Amino acid sequence: MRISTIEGGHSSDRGDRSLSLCFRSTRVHLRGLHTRTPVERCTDEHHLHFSLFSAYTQPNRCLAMALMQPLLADAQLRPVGHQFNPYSENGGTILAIAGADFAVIAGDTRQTEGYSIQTRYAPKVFKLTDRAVLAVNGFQADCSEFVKRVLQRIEWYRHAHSKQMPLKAIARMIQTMLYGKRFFPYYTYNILGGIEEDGTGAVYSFDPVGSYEREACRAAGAASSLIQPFLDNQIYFKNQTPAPGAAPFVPGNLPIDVVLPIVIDSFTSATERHIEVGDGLEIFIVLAKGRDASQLSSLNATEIPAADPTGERVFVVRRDLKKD
Amino acid sequence: MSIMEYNGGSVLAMKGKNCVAIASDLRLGNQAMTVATNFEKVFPVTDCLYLGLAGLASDVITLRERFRFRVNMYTIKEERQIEPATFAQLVSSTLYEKRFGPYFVEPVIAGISKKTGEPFIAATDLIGCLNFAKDFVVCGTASDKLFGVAEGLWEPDLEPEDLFETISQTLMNAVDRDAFSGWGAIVHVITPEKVITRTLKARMD
Amino acid sequence: MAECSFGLIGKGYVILASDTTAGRSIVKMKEDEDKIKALGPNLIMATGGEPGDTIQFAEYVERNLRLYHIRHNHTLRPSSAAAWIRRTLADSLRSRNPYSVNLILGGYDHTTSTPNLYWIDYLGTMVDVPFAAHGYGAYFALSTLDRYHDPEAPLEEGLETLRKCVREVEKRLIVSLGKFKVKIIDRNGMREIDL
Repeated sequence: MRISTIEGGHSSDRGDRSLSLCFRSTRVHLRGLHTRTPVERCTDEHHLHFSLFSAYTQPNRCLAMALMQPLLADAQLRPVGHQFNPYSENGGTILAIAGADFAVIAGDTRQTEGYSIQTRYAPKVFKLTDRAVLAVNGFQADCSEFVKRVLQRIEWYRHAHSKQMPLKAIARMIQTMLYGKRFFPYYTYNILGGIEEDGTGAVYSFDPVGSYEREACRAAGAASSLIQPFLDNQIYFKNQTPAPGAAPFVPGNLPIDVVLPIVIDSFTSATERHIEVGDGLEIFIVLAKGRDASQLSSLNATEIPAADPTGERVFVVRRDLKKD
Repeated sequence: MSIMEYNGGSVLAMKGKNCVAIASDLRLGNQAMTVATNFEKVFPVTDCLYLGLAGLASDVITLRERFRFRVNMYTIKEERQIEPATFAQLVSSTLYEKRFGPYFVEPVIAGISKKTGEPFIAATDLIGCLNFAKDFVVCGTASDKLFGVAEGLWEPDLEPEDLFETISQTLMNAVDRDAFSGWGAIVHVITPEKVITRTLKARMD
Repeated sequence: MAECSFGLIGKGYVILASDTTAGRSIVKMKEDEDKIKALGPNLIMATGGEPGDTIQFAEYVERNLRLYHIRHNHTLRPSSAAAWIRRTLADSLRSRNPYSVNLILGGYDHTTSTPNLYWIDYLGTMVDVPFAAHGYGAYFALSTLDRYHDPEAPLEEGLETLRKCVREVEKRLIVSLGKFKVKIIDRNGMREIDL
């Protein structure tokens, strides 16, 4: 494995700070090595070749490094620590829409890092209880860790109280869990959807440190800027006026056969214009207790078995999105 | 701070059935401070060809005048009106002329060919790389939002009135989510017979 | 930047106001500096920015507009003068050493009998506006003007709006800008008044 460092060795011509920090320390290692080990020839200050393997795997070279310590006293050669960045960004996008007696929570399944696709199927939407579904987006490692902890807290609640945790309680718990890591946050954008205790559909959206709000709809993630204004228009009826004499628009009251095509259109649009969105789409639908599920049959929805078969029901629809 | 976002503003053009539409917001800002709410970014080139310019306001005005001059010269020399496709090449070469010290502007072109009656839209980046789209083109500080809404609302073969509704809704909902665009909007729908220009009643925040 | 100028249009007039302090760093050198230049019988310009540039540029503009007047036997209309000034700044921006001058240009157009007001910055951004402000004062005055400005207001009402702006700046801006110089342009030409 070879790394060639481009011009970036001098502190005076720094561009990206973290990048040049990395280059500088590379150069320090090299200086040390190159006096003792002719194998790693350094021909030009500005264009260095450096083998990571040789520096870190061969003990005699590490020793050479240690022997070079006095040299490092030179201000120019002072080692600069590698900056470890504990976060990454894994693309993808999620959204949720609330109806009068249902909630729809959806996410794509592509996982990226930079321009690479890490996997075409990484679920972002998780069933928490019979009436709560959580979508998480941002840094995948934090996402999966966070969902794990939420699920555990929900289980503890069930053991302590002998009932499933209500949606609004889950929402408040998520806020305390997120804020609990206020100074080393989970890099996650959460959207919680489901059915409240009064039987209404609800969507709660969170920022990474726990600010949250109950809304009728919300998009988050890489393509949120593409989808949210579309939802403003189609769900909140922003910039639209009812026809003369018609009833005023009430957000959060749309029928499911209107909501689902909006969800699908949002994701096909985002897939078309955003490189980090695509591959697959998972739509979770939570129906209130006793609500008719016949409208879902045309969509090839599969039901996720409920703990209490007489209560709320959760369905999932899986579809393909473009893979390019 | 990016030069392209210094003054704010967004432009959008869409194709319809034998018609095209082009629209812009009206804000002129100095970073976060709004200075004026009457700054149009779409200008007529001929009676059925319009040019939209989003980016640094100083260059928007300079280029508007420069294209006015170059189109006038073309009209005098050729003794005919410029075609949209020709004008697109003129825009591209004018911008590429300044390849290494560019005008900080992204142009959008919308028109109907006098010869064939075909609707035409195009956009370029700030150094003149042309993009001939068959649906819609966007530029400016709200471009990502415009892409999202336009992709959701646009459909092929819209009649002028439906195209007006589509472009207006796209622009307004996109700029309402952008702090640097908005404060009113103007829409031009170009048909072979006439140009319909409407100023929209939009959110003023 | 610790200086500011305002402009506003009313019924048949334009008012320009500017602070009168000239200073460098923490030192105040002058408190009766006239920063509003008369560019002709029907045109005035408030300048701000780099101290040397402002005077140099204002005089350059004034001489050129005077030259136009002499050559053609009539003055340039405010809209044309504004376009020329803007172009001069836009060209200067991409030159070896650009002027850093921000302007508010007020004029009365006798051909259309309308008052004109232009907001121009050092980049060559120009827009015709019902009211304008430059400098830190803009952060306070623009909201005041949003609330109280009326393009059809008679002169006394326009001056009262201007007083509100000046009071706001005196109250809320941390540095004192001293007295404001106020000039009015209408169909009778330019005159200076005490606020």
